[in-house]
Amino acid sequence: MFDPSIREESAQEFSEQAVLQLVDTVLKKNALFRMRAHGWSMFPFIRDQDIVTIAPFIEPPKIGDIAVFKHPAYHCLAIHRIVGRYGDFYLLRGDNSRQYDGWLHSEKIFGKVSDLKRKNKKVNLGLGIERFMIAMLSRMEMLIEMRKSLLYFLRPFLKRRGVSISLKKSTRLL
Amino acid sequence: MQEQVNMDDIFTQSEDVVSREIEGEYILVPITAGIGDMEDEIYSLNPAGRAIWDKLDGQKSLNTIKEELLDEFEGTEKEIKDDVTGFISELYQRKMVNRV
Repeated sequence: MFDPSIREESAQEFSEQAVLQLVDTVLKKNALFRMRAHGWSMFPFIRDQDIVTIAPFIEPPKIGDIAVFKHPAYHCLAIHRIVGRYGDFYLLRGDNSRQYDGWLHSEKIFGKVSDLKRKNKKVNLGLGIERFMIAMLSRMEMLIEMRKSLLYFLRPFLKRRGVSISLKKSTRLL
Repeated sequence: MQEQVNMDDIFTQSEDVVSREIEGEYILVPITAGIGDMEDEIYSLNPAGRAIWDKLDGQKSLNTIKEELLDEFEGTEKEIKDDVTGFISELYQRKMVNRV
């Protein structure tokens, strides 16, 4: 039987490898790609279930950019920050991760996070000019400790406002 | 309401749709306002749908496509004609194909 059909797909049905190929395909068309982030390795700047918009690089990646790439060890799509550069090679690490992802050639980086939404609201923190400082603190092994110290002092105030703070262990993003 | 589609019409794939075979499935991602949205709009085509999609080169009429499909798939001429027009109408409504 012939019966041609088109079916709407749910994002949850795609494997990690399929998502990788989708991102690669769309960005190569110089279009943006919007998808849901999973995991906590970029906490607090990107959180689980945030909606990220990924853009292809128009100019070479810069330190502080949140890069989208195929993780060299896990072979899944990862969204982590560029914390170092040597020529065309970039050092990547999640803001909430104690391990580096390693040095990747620029050709292995698909694009960068250009926009972020949480519960339908735009979030700018971590994508603006402060991104360079965040990358430096991460490289100096100070980012996680600073965040923990800050939360320790802020926790009484945040609890009073009903804000729940998670200090979950780092996990891969996507 | 379905868009009127004639067998003499010629269609082409929209430039605002990215297509790729991924893990055995043929996936279409519409690019709306420059953005492909995985949370909102991702589609897949079954093998018959893909056969039509691949033939939408902006040169062949739906009649020519139907004749080619008659050689490739089982079905009467009327069945394939109805399937082609119904499928193209759906793609046209979703702005995934353009009339040449």
